[in-house]
Amino acid sequence: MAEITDDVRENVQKIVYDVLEVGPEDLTETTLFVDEIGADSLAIIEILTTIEDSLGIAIDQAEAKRMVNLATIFEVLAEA
Amino acid sequence: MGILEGKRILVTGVLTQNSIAFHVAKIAQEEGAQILLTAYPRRTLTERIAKRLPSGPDASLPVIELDVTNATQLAELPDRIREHVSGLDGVVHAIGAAPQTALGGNFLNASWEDVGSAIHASTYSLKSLAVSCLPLMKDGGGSIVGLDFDASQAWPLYDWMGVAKAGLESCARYLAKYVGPQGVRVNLVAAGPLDTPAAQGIPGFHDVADVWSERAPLGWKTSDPVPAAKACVALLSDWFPATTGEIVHVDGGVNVIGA
Repeated sequence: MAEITDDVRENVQKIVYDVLEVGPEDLTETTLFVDEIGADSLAIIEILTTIEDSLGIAIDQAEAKRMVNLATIFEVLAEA
Repeated sequence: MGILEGKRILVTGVLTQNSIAFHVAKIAQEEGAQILLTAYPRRTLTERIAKRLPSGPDASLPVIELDVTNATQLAELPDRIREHVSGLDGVVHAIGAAPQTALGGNFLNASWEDVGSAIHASTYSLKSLAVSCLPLMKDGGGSIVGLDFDASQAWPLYDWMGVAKAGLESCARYLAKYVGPQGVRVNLVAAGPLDTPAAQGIPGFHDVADVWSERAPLGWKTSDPVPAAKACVALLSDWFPATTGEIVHVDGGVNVIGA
């Protein structure tokens, strides 16, 4: 997925808000899920899995380690 | 006809597609079993992953919330299961958890509170789950299978989780003694190190994985949970009718090689 469209971006943001139970006001692109929001590793796996289902793509589960904030999710998606 | 045709199997611990538990559920379905899942701590994740089983996205696979340290949920479990099936033929215990303070080289300083929590979730839960499910295995017995990591030796940084697994091995033997007269078998599968999300939380995982790649006579792939899952399915089947309290090593042979 070379290009992250605005639709994809919005879709992913909504998934992250839903799984982490936060709103846009709590999270910028660089807010760290674990260190700043208190997310656990399974929440990151749930974000990854939900993105796969929503976008119809496959992401290597090892990438969960890289997915520390929204910005890094978009990096992973650009390479997926 | 599959080796689990007509069997009703409860599988715990399905949280990701890479896990042993997911592959047990998958192979068990392929072998003819009807699968029920329990979910904890993220039911929505288990429900999402369940749609990737061979039963497909449209199957209404039962997913029952179960924290094995919650006495109320354990007491309600038989009735929750009876909403879907009249009994069980097998149970898979794929549950282990320890606070990070109980792992990673903190062995001498970990508090009893943290160690106790690890043992409650990872060891005592085998007994708790078995006792909850026993009333459902009254007719014709059943098979309980748990997941182990060889606890006969001390491993780098595995610490109190290693002690919890040693307890699990003993717990399985005592359970085998107490539930055998009801026709229920209890066995463990001791898998080699697998690169699952559960393992990623274990410090020192890669040091241990290196030992496997050097010593396993059969070789070992940390990315492949299928061999361990197949052993679980075999133990759930009728093909080990006189085997209980046993630990089946699915480790490429490492446990029998000295150096």
